Amino acid sequence: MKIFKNLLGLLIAGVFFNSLIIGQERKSDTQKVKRIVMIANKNSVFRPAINADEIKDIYLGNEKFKNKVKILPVNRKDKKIFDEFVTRFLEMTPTSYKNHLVKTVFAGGWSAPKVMEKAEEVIKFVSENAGGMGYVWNTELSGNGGDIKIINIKK
Amino acid sequence: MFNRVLGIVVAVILTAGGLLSPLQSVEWMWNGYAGVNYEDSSEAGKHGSFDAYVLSLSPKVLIDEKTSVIGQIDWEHAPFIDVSTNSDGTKSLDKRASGEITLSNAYIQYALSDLLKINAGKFFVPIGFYNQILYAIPTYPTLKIPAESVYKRKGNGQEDAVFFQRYGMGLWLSGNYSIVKTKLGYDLYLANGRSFKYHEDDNDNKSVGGRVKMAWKTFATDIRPIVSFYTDKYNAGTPLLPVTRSQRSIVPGLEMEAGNLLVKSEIAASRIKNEDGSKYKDFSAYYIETYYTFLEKFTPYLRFEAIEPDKDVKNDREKETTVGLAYHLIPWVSQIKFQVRLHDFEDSTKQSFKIYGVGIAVGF
Repeated sequence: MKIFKNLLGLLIAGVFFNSLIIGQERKSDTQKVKRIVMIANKNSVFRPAINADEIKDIYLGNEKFKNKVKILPVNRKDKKIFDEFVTRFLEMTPTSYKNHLVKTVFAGGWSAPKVMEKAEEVIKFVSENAGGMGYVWNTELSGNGGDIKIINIKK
Repeated sequence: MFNRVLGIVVAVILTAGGLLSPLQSVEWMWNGYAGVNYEDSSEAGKHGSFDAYVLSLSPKVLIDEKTSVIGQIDWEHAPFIDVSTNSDGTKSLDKRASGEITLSNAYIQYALSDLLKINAGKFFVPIGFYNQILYAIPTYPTLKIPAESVYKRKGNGQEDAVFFQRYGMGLWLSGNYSIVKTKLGYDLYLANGRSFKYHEDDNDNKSVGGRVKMAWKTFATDIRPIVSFYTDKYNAGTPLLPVTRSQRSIVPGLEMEAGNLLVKSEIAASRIKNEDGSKYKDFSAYYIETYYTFLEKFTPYLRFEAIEPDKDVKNDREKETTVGLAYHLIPWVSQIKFQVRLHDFEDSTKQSFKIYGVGIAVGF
């Protein structure tokens, strides 16, 4: 009987502490809401704040150079961030964006944005290229320093 | 003339690649596409056949931020070229030779600004939605562009039921301008007129064409109206018995895109006049098509197209309905396409027929 009471006490304590930990995790989840951050080379010609239309022009292939520097946009292979970027920043569906890209490449003499898997690759590429531009989750930025700057988007 | 321009363009490409590279940063880009189809027709005397429809290679050389050279070579129907020796010892193309090789694009572009780009050389004429992406099969779900109506082509450039010349050799100006949520664009070109001989300019006149396009976003829909035009004066007779005619075409169109749904239509109307200004022929065509992509993998499509070859001739209309499905192995890069075309004649003495087709298209 005593063993049973001890086990029950242990179980209740376990559930209690577990709920505290889960609560903390949920709280930290809400504190770190994922959002997309646009990045560019630290010494690039892009101002710290640019218009949403300029992002569109760059990713749709309408703007290829900025002050004689070739713009090198990067897309992500990860479907979640790619889909959110295209929907929110380009105001298109991923399907129509992909269709637009191939038409622009084949009829417009433009090379489509590079596609990269990891945030580290994007940050490295943007750091090494004056015209580099890309996007990452805000949570992917920490500890991934490079010669980059965050671009704020003006609607 | 063609050989001369080709020579200049090749020289420019070689110069750009071979001489300029060490001196300045020249960037090469290569793209291309390939497609293989199998079609089986219910038409009398026809049988199912594979077709290595096209292999296209498109180099782009970016010399600096303003100057580039753009090329495109298309191999249609797996060309086979062989030379045979004639009885007099001379050589000519063997009668077994088949297929086509076309240098479709070979032009130099100088971009003064977004408002003005100057292009010179040979190019797919900027008319309508489709002419410049004629062979870019991964960009559309159907096996081919609307080739039975607005983009119909007969065996040679002299045939009347062609609304415009597919290629131009000359000068082409283009530009874009954005205002609020609207994008405006234009293309205007001056090219050699239709020649009686292939690849030789035997026409004293020039053809003029172009288009005005617009794109704006309203609510969740992109609306893109377009108007293209073409005018030309050409020899419709023979070198010994020349018959001069002139042609004018207008091609308005509209494309609407809402999410993954796309609806597109163009109407072409053309008039050919005799040298004295009297009407020779009026003809017209249109197509309307729609497709919807779901799960990023499947694009079912439907196209209806019709052509009126001569408005003064009764019972000569033809129409075609195409129903199909494109399955995307990689969205808009590689697809497998299945379709059926139902071709019908207004003339009841002609037998309507079906063409079943399957094809694979890959862009790279």
